[in-house]
Amino acid sequence: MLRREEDGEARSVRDMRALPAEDRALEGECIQGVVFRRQAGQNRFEFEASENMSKFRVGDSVLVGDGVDFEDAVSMEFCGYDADRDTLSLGRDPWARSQLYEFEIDGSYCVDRRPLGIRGRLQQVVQDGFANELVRSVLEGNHEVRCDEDRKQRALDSLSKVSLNEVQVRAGAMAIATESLAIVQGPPGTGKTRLLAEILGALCGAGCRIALSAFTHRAVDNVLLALRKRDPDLALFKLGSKNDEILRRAGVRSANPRRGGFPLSKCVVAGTSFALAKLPEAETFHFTVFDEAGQLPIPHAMAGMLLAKRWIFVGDHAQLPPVITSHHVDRDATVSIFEHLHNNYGSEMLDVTYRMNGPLSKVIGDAFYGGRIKSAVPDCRMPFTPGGKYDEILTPDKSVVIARVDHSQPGMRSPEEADLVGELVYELRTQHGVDATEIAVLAPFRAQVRLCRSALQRRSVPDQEDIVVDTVERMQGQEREVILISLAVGDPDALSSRAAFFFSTNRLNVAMSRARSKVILVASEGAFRGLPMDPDSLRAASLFKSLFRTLPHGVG
Amino acid sequence: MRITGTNIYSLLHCSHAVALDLHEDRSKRRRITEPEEFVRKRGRDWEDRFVATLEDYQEPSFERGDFESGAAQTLAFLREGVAGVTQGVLMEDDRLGIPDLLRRESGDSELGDFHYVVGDIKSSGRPRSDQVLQVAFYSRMLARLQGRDPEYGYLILKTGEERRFVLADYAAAITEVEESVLQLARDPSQSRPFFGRGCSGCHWSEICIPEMHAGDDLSLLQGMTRGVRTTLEERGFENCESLHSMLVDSESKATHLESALLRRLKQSALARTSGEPIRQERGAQPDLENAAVIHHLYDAFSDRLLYIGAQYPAREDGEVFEECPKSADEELASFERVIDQLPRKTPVLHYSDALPRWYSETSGGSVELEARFVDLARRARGVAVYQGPVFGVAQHVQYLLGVDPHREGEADAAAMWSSKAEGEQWLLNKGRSDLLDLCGIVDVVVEHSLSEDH
Repeated sequence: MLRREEDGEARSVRDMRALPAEDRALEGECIQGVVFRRQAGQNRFEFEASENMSKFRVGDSVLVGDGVDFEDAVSMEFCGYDADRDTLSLGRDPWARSQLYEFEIDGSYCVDRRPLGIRGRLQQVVQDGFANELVRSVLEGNHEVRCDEDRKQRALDSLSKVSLNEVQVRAGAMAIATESLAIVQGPPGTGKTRLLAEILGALCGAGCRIALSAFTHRAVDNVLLALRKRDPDLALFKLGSKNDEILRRAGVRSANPRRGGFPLSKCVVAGTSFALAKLPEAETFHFTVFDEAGQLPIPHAMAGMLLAKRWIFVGDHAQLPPVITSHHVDRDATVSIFEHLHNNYGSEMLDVTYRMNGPLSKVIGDAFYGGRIKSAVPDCRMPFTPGGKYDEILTPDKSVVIARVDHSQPGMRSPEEADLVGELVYELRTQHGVDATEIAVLAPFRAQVRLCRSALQRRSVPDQEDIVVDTVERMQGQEREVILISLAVGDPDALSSRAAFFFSTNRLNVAMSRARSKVILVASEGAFRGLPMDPDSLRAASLFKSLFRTLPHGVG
Repeated sequence: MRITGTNIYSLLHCSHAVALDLHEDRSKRRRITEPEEFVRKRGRDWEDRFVATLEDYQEPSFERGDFESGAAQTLAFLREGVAGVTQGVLMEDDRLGIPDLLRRESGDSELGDFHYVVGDIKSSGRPRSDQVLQVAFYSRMLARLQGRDPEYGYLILKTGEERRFVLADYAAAITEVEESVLQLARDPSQSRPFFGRGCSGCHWSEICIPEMHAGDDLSLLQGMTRGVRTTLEERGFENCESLHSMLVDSESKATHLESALLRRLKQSALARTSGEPIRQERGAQPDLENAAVIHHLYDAFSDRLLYIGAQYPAREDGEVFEECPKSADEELASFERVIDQLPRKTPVLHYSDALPRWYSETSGGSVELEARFVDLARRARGVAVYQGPVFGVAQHVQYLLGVDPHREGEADAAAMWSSKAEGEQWLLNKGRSDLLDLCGIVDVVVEHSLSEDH
């Protein structure tokens, strides 16, 4: 799988480069005709770009050249795009020390994606994983799940004394008592990070040495910070962290994974799969705990599994799945470790959300969790002062609402929707006093994210720098009072070619469930009219249609 | 007028074809070709073979067109609680459905302590949305008849495998499709043709395609969608030629459409008028030099690789290596023998991902070989802006090389030919002709041999 993913990435880059720059731009993989203006400081270069439809995000590695000869192109880092100033900022590539950065003033350039190919690092881990009898039997679904009943009883007693709900106590005790495998499904806002902190705290309190892993640094950091809050004195290490100030202030020590040498008990060593894969073989742990395991591909999980013989997986396969870029004959190779284990062994599902209000949790629960989610905060409402232009949309009486703005955009951006987003956010801030830190704007495509950001700037939304405007992927694990989702596409024809991505129930679930009290779907009717030919995509499209039929509408 | 399951099925392909099916004189349909008849007959034969395996199933018997009688007999069978019904008739004021299978299941309904579920027999290897919605349509009619929603519908695939799906998962989709078809039954003027992948194979092609060409319809341009066509028409661009004078930047501002898309459509309109593709500047193609091309002819119904051929080097005088495997057991070995005759590490150019996918599904895949595969379709796409939509290799051959891609017959006819005595020779002729065309495409891509004038 890893080889295929790496080869597939290389092939898609080759195929992309075989296209003219204009086609690459339409695919969001290139910015054409950028004009070099000036070097702004030691590491920053500014280019003028009147249009940017690319999927590039800050930190991406790019090539700058004539768009034809990639051998001579300059490797750089994408640092941002200011749509109002038509300014593209690129920085020096931190890994290419001998690179020359000589651009002609007013010279025209093309910016293309540069592949990274980092998956190869995990290949040895996968080989070792399949050679390990225990790991193999677990993955093959042949393992008999075992737990220590005495320990379970003690855990039930102790967890009942902290403020956890009944299902959390049961799931936590099962995890603490496991002698092999525990699987906990945590739908949005059901307190899985809190529960994880309790589990880790209890295990460390009993003298355990724990490895903690997740697919993203953000997920790892969230658990470490929650754990620090619970236990101010526990020894916490973060592998390969770039001197993160928040972690440092919380007393989490940054560590080089290759050096090892962590305390033999009562500590948590945390990192992404890639960091854990670098730990010396002698480093073993009593447990490995995986957070957001629904995003973790099976090969990536193996790095953590090889470090211990007891594993706790916390995640949710109804939220974002692993990112898989190539075609794989074996579908099992592409599902997350969480979904794979859930299908084989089942899981305990946390069923009380502390985030979403009653009506919102009902919509999310019915659409994505078979109606099994209850709200602990049923009456929570966003601030609202009647008398605004968009009361019909913004009223808290409609926890989920479709703000209609009909258009036929076939691409990955809709200026019509972005303008409405700007208006709605402005009114949320100025008329209703919703704090900027309590608003997020999400879109499926980065091109639309940029348009929305520009719309907020144009509308002079107060404190707009505090408003998250991003793709859904960047919001997993976070929450806001109000979420606006701009679907961008308005042409059902265009949807058929992007059906699997666009009609992703997982992505829609994550986007909507970031909200505590209000979700506004800014969309054209066309976004709900697609009829993809693949039955899986059609099932998801049918859910979109159902929401369109059942949710209240407001005209933007 | 009654809408049927076929209308539901067809809506996913083309709403205009549904409108014509509902309102136009059937005699205006084009004649069915021999390969199409061959495919239909195989489908019917498969259905008959499957039905023959069902025990205690009943089939209503009625005069052609006397659906009332068929519906009455079907209802009688259902009330009787028979094990199943084949070709049962479900009829309402505005709907008619003849599902292949109605199967008895336990669980109360107005019929008794049992109810029925709907199945359809298909010739495909994987379920498709059009098939799922057709069964969902029948299931809704059945639900009204028996006073209970069936929980699931099912498809019998060509392998005999039964694939079930939960009907509730598709409820909103079938509601929308039913409403659309009923609307077309009331008012066909809402639909109009849009040139798409399925047009050439549609039985109304002799009506719609000339109509679109006569009107110089915008859908004849590469990259057009229905939404963009509507937007451009609203701005006064009613045909392809009118795009020649489009001011891209101002139209982009007025319509909010991306300027790159509008520029591309304008070029496409110019290419259409000139009858020649417009060459695009693009990067070097190192993996196309000193490469081989590979090609296959396939029978999708029986999942049989009928011909596998490679040409190396990928040029007109390159050597051809080819085989016609006689059975499924020989296919992989044939493929590997052909590949083994190519120099090691040579890039292997294929058109679209069908052959690599067949290989990885058949063999489990070799990462080394997969790394050599290069998709020529994407490379050909990057060569030029074409004078019309490109749906597959046939248009690339036609537009880039100016030759008839079907001069040795259509690839879809391979299954029919393979059933005939002279089939192998046909496969070899067709395979070589296709390989030559692929080499021609490679030549254009590598040598940039399109006229500089364009």
